[in-house]
Amino acid sequence: MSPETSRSAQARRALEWPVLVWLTLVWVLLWGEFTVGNILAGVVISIAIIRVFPLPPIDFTGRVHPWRLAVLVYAFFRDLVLSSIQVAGIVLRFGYQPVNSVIIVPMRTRSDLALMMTSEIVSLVPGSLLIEVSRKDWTLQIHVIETNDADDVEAARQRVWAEEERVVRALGNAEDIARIEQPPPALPPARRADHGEGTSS
Amino acid sequence: MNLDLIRDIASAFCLLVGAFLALIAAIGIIRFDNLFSRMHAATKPQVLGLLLILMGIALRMEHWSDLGLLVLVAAFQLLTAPVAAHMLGRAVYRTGDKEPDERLVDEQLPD
Repeated sequence: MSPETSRSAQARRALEWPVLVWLTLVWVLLWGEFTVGNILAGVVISIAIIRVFPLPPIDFTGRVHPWRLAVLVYAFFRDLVLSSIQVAGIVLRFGYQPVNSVIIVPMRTRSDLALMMTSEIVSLVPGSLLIEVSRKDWTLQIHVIETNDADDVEAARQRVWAEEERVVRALGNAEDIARIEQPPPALPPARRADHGEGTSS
Repeated sequence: MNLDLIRDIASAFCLLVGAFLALIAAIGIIRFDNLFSRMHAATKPQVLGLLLILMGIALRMEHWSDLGLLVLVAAFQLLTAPVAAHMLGRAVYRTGDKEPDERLVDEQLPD
């Protein structure tokens, strides 16, 4: 490596390795056989893909905590089952349209990876869908199904914070974990637009 | 007790529950009157339903080499379903919903 190689370029090269391994694995799995030819073809195609579609590197500054990761995965599948049952219950009450809510949840983490993972998990599990992520304010805007009163809205917010906490405890660095242990940040009060009983526009 | 029988029962259970959840998702998409409720139906029961069907298939598989493909399908479903729901939800939320859902609160991001 030449001495003038910048640190960011080095970081990018280092981070290409997991991508290369992942893409090769995908290729081999698609063919369904671990043969030398498949693996070589996979490596060649992966390099081509990385060259043609370069992505900005994701900074991973945390550590993997295996036990916490297991807790995260367990909680994810538990929530997936629970929210599927919840949504299935709503679907089967024919003629009933749930009252939903759009809420904002300020995040405590300052890691891009944790923000992304929390957003993805929130979309899949606890009765919620991601509408918008503000990276500037580190805030998620989330759509929640079936909120009958203010308690349901607050419970949804608490679930998102719990999800964030599990993600950071599984993959975060010490700084982020310290942030997670703080109480959740206050909501920006000026922008709360309550529409009161059941109107939406 | 026959081990194959237990495997068959477990597999049948996964396949049936998975298919039932996929049906629920389809009913939900037709039945709900707005995009957001529909997207909830299209993400949660649908994803769990697919995972259960894949599990049911995995239990009945004769060649372990196909397991990789099933894992890949599951992984991409988990990665792409939230992204698709997010893109749709965001587009509709920003452009204004023609068939809005009833909302208890509607909080906006700070500018």
